[in-house]
This record gives sequence, structure tokens and C-alpha cells, in this order.
Amino acid sequence: MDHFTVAIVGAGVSGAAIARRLSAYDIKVALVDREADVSFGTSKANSGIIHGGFHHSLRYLKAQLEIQGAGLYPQLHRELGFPYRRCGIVVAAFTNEELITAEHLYRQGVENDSAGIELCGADRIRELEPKLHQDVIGGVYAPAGGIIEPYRFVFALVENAEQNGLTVLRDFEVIDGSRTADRFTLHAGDGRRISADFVINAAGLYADELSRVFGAEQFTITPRKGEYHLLDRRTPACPRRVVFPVPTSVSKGMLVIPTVEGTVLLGPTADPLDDKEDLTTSRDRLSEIVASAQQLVPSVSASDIITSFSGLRPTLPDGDFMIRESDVVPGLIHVAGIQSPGLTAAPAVAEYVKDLLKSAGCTLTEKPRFSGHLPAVRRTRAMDDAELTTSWEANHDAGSVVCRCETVTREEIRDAIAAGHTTVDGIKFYCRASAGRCQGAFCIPRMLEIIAEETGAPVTAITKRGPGSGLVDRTLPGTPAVRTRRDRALRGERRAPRQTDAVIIGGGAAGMAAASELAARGFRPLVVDRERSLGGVLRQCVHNGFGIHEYNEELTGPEYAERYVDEVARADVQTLVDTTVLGIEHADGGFVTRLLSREGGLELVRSPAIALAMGSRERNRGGIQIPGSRPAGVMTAGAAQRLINVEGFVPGRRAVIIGSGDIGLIMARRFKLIGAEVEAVIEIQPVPSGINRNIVQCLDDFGIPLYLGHVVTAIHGRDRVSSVSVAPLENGVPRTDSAFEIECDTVLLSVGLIPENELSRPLGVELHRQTNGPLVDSRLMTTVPGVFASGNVLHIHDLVDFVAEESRRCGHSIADYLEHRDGIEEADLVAGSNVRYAVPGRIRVGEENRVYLRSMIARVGAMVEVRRGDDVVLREKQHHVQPSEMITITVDGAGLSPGDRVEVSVR
Amino acid sequence: MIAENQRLIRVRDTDDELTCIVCPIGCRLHARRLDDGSLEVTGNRCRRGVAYAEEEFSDPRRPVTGTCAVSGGEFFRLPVKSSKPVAVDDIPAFLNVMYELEFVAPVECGAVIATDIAGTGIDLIATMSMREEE
Repeated sequence: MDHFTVAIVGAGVSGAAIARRLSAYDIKVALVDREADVSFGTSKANSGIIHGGFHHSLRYLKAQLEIQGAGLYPQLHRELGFPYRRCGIVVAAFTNEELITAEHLYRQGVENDSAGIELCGADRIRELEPKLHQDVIGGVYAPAGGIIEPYRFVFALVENAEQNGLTVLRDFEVIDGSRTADRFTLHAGDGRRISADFVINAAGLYADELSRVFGAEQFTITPRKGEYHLLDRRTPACPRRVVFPVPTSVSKGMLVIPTVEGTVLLGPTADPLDDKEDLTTSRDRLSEIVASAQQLVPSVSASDIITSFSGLRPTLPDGDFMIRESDVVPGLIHVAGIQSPGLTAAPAVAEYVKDLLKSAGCTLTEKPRFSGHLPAVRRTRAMDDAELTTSWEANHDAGSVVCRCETVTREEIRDAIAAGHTTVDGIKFYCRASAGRCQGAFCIPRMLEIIAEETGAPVTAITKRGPGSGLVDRTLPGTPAVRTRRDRALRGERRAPRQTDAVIIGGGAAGMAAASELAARGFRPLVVDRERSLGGVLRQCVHNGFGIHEYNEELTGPEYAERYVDEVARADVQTLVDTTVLGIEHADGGFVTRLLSREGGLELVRSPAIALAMGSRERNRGGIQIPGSRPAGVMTAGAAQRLINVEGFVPGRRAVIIGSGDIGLIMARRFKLIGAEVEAVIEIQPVPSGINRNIVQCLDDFGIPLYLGHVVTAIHGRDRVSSVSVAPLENGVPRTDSAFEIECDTVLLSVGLIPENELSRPLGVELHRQTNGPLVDSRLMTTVPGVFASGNVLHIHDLVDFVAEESRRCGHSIADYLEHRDGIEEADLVAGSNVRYAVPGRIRVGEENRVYLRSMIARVGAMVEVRRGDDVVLREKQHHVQPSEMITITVDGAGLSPGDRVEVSVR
Repeated sequence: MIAENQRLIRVRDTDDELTCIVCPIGCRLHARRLDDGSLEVTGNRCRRGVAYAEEEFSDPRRPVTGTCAVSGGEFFRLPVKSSKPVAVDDIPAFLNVMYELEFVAPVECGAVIATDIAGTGIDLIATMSMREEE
């Protein structure tokens, strides 16, 4: 049994700060935690704020430590390099009464020595924070407050302490213990034991239970739940400073927080609970958060939410921290009730506990060799060109982007693993892979592979956040669960051209069709794709049903892709796979595209034209805000499709599918064909959103029930999904009295696609409100001359044949543009009755125009009408229309004049 | 074994409702086998619905697609399809054989990679070219 001078129980921010402080002394210290990684309790789900020192009176221990702790952060930040920004805090008052409370806060802040604190009137506070609501009349500004990445702070503390001799024991739940005359013994649930002279009880929510284990003081920790929403970094609502409302007697209120990483956090709520494991979110609370945040910052929008979560704060009845040596059990030091402002106070808590240890008789001699420094956290996302090149030259994995939303490379993931973080959540907290808007739908399959390769563990042993939260149930027969790294040899042959006629971003059906058309017109385009092979999503769509319009036969997705790959190869189009486009910039009347790849590092390509063909991504759980817990096993249908069909990883045994989109239906059948179960498909609309044939051949064939007009009101399960609650909708509200539960271990989401325009926006391309794709003219040119768009990046198509047809026209238009065939004359085309949208929004005068539109109604026997005022331009009978089937019409622009406004409607 | 359920897909015989999939309208058909052996179909808007019901009642078939294990290639799964639609009763056996097959790269898209799967007389075709790993 290993013996330590000090055993710290609980590797949250308090335990970690204490461990790091003690690592400066010549003693043996162990830091143990029940979770699979450090910082996985309260410290991973909080506001991430360094408080301004004005919320609490100095008569509380927590207020004293808050102020001392805040003062230690700048120094700690210099030493440990964790993400931290002193952005300041504003408290916004809307009424004179609130302004009085604000004055009280100000006076408290002055007493507490909150550096630079000031009272603000309406003009001053809006100057400090322009995003505030216009009704704000004043408030408080505390420039000393700031923001931090709480888990990365904990990781840095622990990493540095480990370098100085700390022993960290993960998955070590202290279930029993004893105190003899000379030592404490701690027993873990799995049989491991350690002994120690002193025990620090930093067990957070479980501090009361640990006290009981050693027969020390009886006290009760009450969890207080805080729910949060996280907004995408592109939200217009990102404030410059942390925005607080004026506090009430019970809480500091719900805040709008700019995170260090550029996203925005809304919350928290504050609800006392009995259950220390209840990390669920609820529908009511989540909508309260949005409403409350909009009060402060009106540009907050629920449509920017990428995920929702909750955290539990451990509270004692008096609301203060309890940090002292036990009266009953000498040598046991309680660090309990560390709720807000625990993060701010942590460095001071560590000092305080060090002093308590000394008085308790622990000999603390400074180590002759203590190294208190870690290199600063470096993110690929924040690197300039020179840094990108340097880091790629040092290690080519720094050019291999795995997480596209947050631009995280394989090297950063490997660093996370090397630092001891081997769960998907641990890696996410360390380097932000999968923390962005797609929430891992694209990168988790790659992350699983990389973790398996780097750790040697089978993929079936990889978890989201520890035992029970596995992500892969089994592999398909013949596919290895253990992976060794296999990389294409780097031969230095692959070079991006410095100049090309057009850079086509995306090598799926859209990009390849546009490229082959451009090549046919004698131009040399460059196609760039981040995957290892061309074909885009077709690669994983191994089912058939593609190509009926284009090739007059039913092909599978890979076959369809292969035809285009061959066509592009014959046309001698240059292609770069495994290459990520970091950005597109305007330069000399054209564009510079910045590429990053393992093989070529950072490369810049100039071109007079750009084709956007990035496709789409799937709407995920954050997008539709399904309340409940956040276990492993919730994923988009497309992510599951990739896992199964490309990697051979089976994600679960019994699925419930949310949404009746075609991908979800196809995945229902795929689950059945690989021997897994599908319990039900739940669709919120009264009609299925997938096509009829898929309803019949993917659900009816297998007897899978389809619940129309139903919603999933909660997802259950602590580590892995255990069930979902389903309720019928009545007038848009779930009827909880008719709710029922379905047991399952997997939830697949098939709730729509969103055009992936993350590269388009910074270029200045204007987007369409309804389609979320670029606004385009009759040539499919966006609002930025020279930038064209086609395929799912423009609007969501139901058939790849339409993507290809549209993209060929796009290639044709780019060729015209490159040949300077300008001077086109156009009329505006707008969506009229019963039409959701029509693309493109402009049509060519004097020529035939292909127009795609989506009906909002379903009916047999409909009329599509195009009118200019009272003139009928086109009347076309449609056998059958429905929202899930795109309508294609050809509008003759012969009788139109430039600037005309024509309207398309369905009747 | 992948498909333990020997009746993966429902087979219709005497009297049943089914949705026509010939066109997007999706007529709700009711079909009934009469004593003389002929099939009575109602609910269809056009003749194609009758033909669809006839087929579903006499010899329902589905194309089978999926992936097989492959080694030595760039990827671990090789997309495949049945050369013809498979009778629904044979699909579980077809899948069980299909998922036990293992191939070695290179494989050409369109190549017949296994014949007469589970005695159906139907072959398996690769639907993607799998290059050898470099």
C-alpha cells in the first residue's frame, strides 16, 4: 500500500489548486478522484468567471478568499498559461431600485478593495458594453473580473503538480476508510488502497459523505443545480465583458458570459436538489435562461444554441465555505461547501489549506527544485501563418485538422492524450475537439480512431467520460477494434498550386460536378476536401437509390461518387484531399485560399473565382434543445452512419430515432440489417419528413413504429442512454399526462440539415434567412463577385442528382465569369403563397432558368404558378407536392425585363 | 451472426394494408387474396398500384446493401450490394453470409466478389474501389 504525507480527495479546482501548492514542498501527495478524469465534477460545469470582489461581504470566509484568489490569477496565468482574460464585469440595472442595489454592490466592492470598481450611468455602461439592452439605466463596472476556462485551469494545475511529483489516482472512489493512531487509510471501490498522514476533504458534493467515512463532523451538502446554454461563436450576442443582472436575495442571477474561447455562455439557474447525480436539464429552465439573457442582451437568440448542460454546486446551510481541520478527527481538513465563488477563490483556498496543514503539524519544507511553469496553451485556431508553418515543420500532425468547427489538429489531440486525458470529454476539455457547433458529429469517429491508435485500447473501451459511457458497442465482423496508425507515406509530391482558375471547396458531388464542368470548358480548377477521399457524404451512404435522374439507374452512394471521381480524374482536375481550408481572403480583386494539411502544411492559393461546395451539417441536440441528461449514445444519424459504414463501429444495440428525415430512416434499416434493434421513430410533425419509399422500406418492412406528432421530452441515463420519455403534442405543447418511456441505449437524431457556411460568412457572403445558404443570382453567384455556390451549401436538396445538375450549371457560370461574359440582365424571383423558398433569387431575362422551390403544403394535384403582377409567366401542373420533395421548374425569361419582380406560388 | 431473426422483413400473404411506393403520392392500398387466387386491390389511384401489390404479395424482393470486412486497403469496410434484389425471406441468411466475408485490397468497383450467396443464386458486387494501402 502506497503511503503519502497528504491525500487530497477530490480533483476539482480546490483539490487541484491545493495539490499544486503542496507540490512545492518536499512531501508525497496523492490526488484521488472518483471520476475518470480530473475536473469532471462541479469544476467542469460552471460559469468560468473570476469574480470582481463586490458580490459578498467580507464577513464571509468565501468573500475574503475570493478577493485574495482573484489577486493571484494574473501571476498563475503567467506561470501556467491557461486561457484567462481580464475582461471586466458589468452589472446592469434597469430601474432606480436596481440602481440602489448596484450602489450597495459598489460600496461593498470598495470595502473589498475591488480594483478600479466604478458606478456607471446609462451612457458609461453602454460604452463599456454596447450589446446591453437600451433600457439599462446604469450599474457597476468591475474591471478586475475576468473569464477563464475552468477545466483547462484544473488540468494545468494538475499537470504542473504532476511534474513536481504529485500522484494522481483516477476512478478512485473512496468508499471506506479508517483512522488509526498514525495514519489514515483510504479504500477505493475497485480494491485499491492508499494511506496518508493527512487527508484533505475536497470531495465537493460528497464532502459530507467523506466526513462520515472517517467518523468526523456530520454536515449536509445540498447540491444546487445551475443550467446553462452555450452559444455558437458566431452569435452576434457576444459581449465584451461578463454581464450580470442586479442580484436578488437568492442568487447572483443569470448572466451572459463571453467565454475565453469565443463562445457565449448563458446561465446559470439555481435550484436546490436532493440528488447529487441529477445533471439533467429541463424545458422550463432552458427557456427561462434564454428569456432572461435576452433581457440583458437582446441579440441573444435560441437559434445560436449549440448545447445545454447543467452543473451542481455543493452548498452548506450557511452558504459559506467551511475550511478547517476537523475537531473530531485530527489531521482531516475539510474544504467543503465550495460553491460560487469557489473557482475565483481556489488559489487562496490552496494557501489557506497549506497554512492549516502547517498548524496541524505537517512539516512543509520547500523543494530545492520546483518548476512552476507550463508552456502557454496554444491553439491552432489562434495561430498566425508563421506559427502554423513552424508548428507543422516540427510535427506534420499539426497540419492534420480533426475538429473542423474549432480547428483542432491531430497534434493537439495527441498532446491531450499525452497529458493523461483519454476520454472523449477529457480531450474536448483539454483541446476543444468536438466542443464546437457540430458537437462532434464530424470529428468523433476520427477522435475514436486516434484515441485507439495512441493508447492501444480497443475502440470498444473508449468512453465519453469514464466507465459505462462507452461509445462503440462492438465492431462489425472482421473489423479490428484495436487500431494501429496507418498513414499515407509522405512523399513530398503533393503541392498545392500557387495560382489556379478557381478553388472549389468541397469534393463531394457538388464540388466534383462543378470541377468537371469547368475542366470541360478548358479551365483548371483545384478541388480541396478535408476527408481522405473524394465523394463527401456519398461515401457513407452505402444504400442504393442514387442517380435515377442523372444515370437512369439505381446506384449506391459510393458508386455514384466513383463515377464523378473517375470523371474528375479523366478531366485532369487537380484535387487535394486530407486538406482543410482555414479561410478565404480577398486579394487583388481575387481571392487567396489558405490551406492546411499534413502533407503540405500551410499553403496559399490565389484564384480569380471560388466555388463554395461545402455541403451541410446535421442539426444536433443543441439545435432542438432536448432536455434531460447528457449520456453517451446520443448522436446524429449521419454520425452513426459514418461509424457503421466507414469505420465498422456499431454504436449501440437499441436505438430510438428522433425525427423522420431520410437519413434517420435509412439508419433505422441499417441498424436492423446489422442485427441491432430500433424501438421507435419519433416525429414532431403530423407527417413524416422523409420520402414515402423510405417510410415503407425502412420502417414498415421491419415493423418499426413511427410516432407522428410526438416529441422526446427527456433523454435519461447517467453514463449511457437508458431510455427516452415521449409525449404526444397538443397545440404545440407536450401532453405530459400521456407521456411514456421507451428503453434504449442509443438516440439518433435526424432533424434536418444546415448548410455549412462557416467559410462563406467571413468573406462577406450574404445568407438567405430561410435556406441558410448564400443569396445567389441567376448564375449562382453570391453577393461577393467571383464567389459561387451550389449543392447543399446553397440549399438542402433531397436528391444528389439535383445537386449535380445545379453544380454543373455553377461550373458553367464560373467559366462564363472567367471569360468575362458579364452584363447579364436579371429579374427578381420571390417566394409567394405556400412556397418556403425558391433558388436562385434572380432569373435571367431572355433565357430559360432552372428554378428549385420547396412547397410548404402537401397535396395531390397542385399548380405551380409564376407571375409578374397579373401576368402569368408559367403555370405548371404538379401531380403531387409535399414539403419533403423539391420542385423543379424551368422559367422562360423571354417576356421579362430587367428589374422585373416575379413571384412563384403553389396553389 | 448478424441476423438472428429469420423473419427480418414482414411478408404479406392473404389480407393486408400497404403503402404504394411507385410514386411520391403513396396511396394506401388494401389488398386481399381471393379464393380464385387473384388479388383484389383497392385504394390505388392508378394501375401501377395493382402491379406493386401483386409483386409484394407474390414475390417481395429488396436490394441488399452493406459493407464487408476488407484488409490491406485505405479503409476497413468495403461497400457492397447484391447483384439483384433478394427475396425478403432469404435476406437474413444472405446477411449472415455477407457479414462473414473478408476481402483483401485492391478491389475494383463493380467487381463480382462472391457468388451465389447463401444459395440464392445472387452475387455480391463491390460498390467502391478499394486501393491498396501505400
